[in-house]
Amino acid sequence: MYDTNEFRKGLKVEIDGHPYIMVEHQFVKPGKGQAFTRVKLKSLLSGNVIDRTYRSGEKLEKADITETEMQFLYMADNVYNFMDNSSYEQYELQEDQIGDAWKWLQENMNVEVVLYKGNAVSVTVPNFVVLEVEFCEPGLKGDTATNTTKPATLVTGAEVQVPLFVNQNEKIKVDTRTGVYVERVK
Amino acid sequence: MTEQWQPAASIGNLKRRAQLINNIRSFFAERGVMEVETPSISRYPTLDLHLESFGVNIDSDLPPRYLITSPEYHMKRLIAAGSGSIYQICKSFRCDEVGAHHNPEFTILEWYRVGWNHLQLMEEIEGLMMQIMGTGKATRTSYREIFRSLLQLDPLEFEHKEFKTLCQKLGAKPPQDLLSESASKDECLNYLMGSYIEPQLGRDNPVFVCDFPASQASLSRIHKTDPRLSTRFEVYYKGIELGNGFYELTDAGVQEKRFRETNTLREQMGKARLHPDRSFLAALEQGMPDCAGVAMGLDRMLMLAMGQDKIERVMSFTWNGS
Repeated sequence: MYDTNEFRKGLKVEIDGHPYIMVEHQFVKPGKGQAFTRVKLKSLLSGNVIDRTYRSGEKLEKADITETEMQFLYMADNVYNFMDNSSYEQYELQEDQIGDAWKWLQENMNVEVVLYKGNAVSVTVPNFVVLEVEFCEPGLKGDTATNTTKPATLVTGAEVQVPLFVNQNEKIKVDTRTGVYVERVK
Repeated sequence: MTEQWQPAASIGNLKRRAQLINNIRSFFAERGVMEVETPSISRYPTLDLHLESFGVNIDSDLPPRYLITSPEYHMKRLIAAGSGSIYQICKSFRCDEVGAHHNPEFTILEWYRVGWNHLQLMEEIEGLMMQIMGTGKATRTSYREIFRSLLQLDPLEFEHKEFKTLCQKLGAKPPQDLLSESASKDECLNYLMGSYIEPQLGRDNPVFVCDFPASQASLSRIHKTDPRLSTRFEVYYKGIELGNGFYELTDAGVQEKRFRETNTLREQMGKARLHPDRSFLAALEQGMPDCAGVAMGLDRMLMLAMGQDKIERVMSFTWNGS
């Protein structure tokens, strides 16, 4: 159990049988009134954000959540398969649980899979990934400007805006949090 | 792991803090208000519904002592003894108050003006804020007016179901205890004040909210013309409460009655009854001259004066790094 004075960003709690991660918390003491703590919680299943208010001393259940490093094996019939690197146990995630992560998932890539009560519920990809450009219009020789861009389709199927000098079959580094091109990787 | 030893505030901010505190001392010196010092450790706790004093155990055979939550009782004893107008900059201590704008050990700027009422004192607070913090002209409103204009709720006359309807309209998720029919109306108001009014107050210039309901009078006197209202006021700037002031209650009998009522409410909340400060009551009994007083959160004032958003940016060491 977590007491209100243990509240912090990133705390994983369970409310009404549902796991949440604390994204914001604020201690409020109105004048001479009774204090409370206002929190924003993001569902670890749906991603929805809810607001709650607690009195000092109220307790929240700890969520049975673990993050495990796993390797992405393959996708088949919209089911994504992962393997725990230490136990070799395999886990599945459905398309809707994957969210936007499909854009950056490449076979054999190491990712963090979130387990809730032993079942995989979501995946976190590394902040930066290196992926190959499968298709884009040919590069313009000598054009090193980065402020004009063109679309490029990566091997995962994701589309990213890249500078004009980037060519097909080259590898690029992308920030997965923003989906923005970082640099060309030789 | 290496032990964290560095201060919370930058040395630059601490220099600025020292300078601003000097300026505050000059402000009062120029006005002939005497600086005083009173005890941090008291024989009596603060008797308030929502303030908890830290206990100090000197010897288990002796009665416990308490860290002050504000220097109010002692300063009023000085006024009753004939000190005239006085001010103090001192540490105060409140259990369980930790956040971006709270630290259990913090600095209060508290002062009393003998022979003044709260309206005169507000003028002086405004002047101090303009001079020390560089704020503009303050505006004044009443507790009732601010609830009516911002939330369309009359804080002096509302039913619990109106509170619930308002919460639904606002998409508010109040603490569970406030959803019950028997919830305290003052706590419903406190919740709305802290969540939906305070953050909107004083965006550009300070705002004084006057005439708090009589049920929240604390240590202020009740209005002569309207017994539903008290002479308590608060001052807000940039969505943060900076101070709380009163046209001070001087009637020992009424003060003692309020202490008794507070203890009854504490008991209903499952909190311990507390000993009223007998010395403070004896001073009122003997006679305290009419005066107005205010306690201001100095760390918050300095935080805003320096354009910071957390009090730790202007405090040398905080609760978690002390």
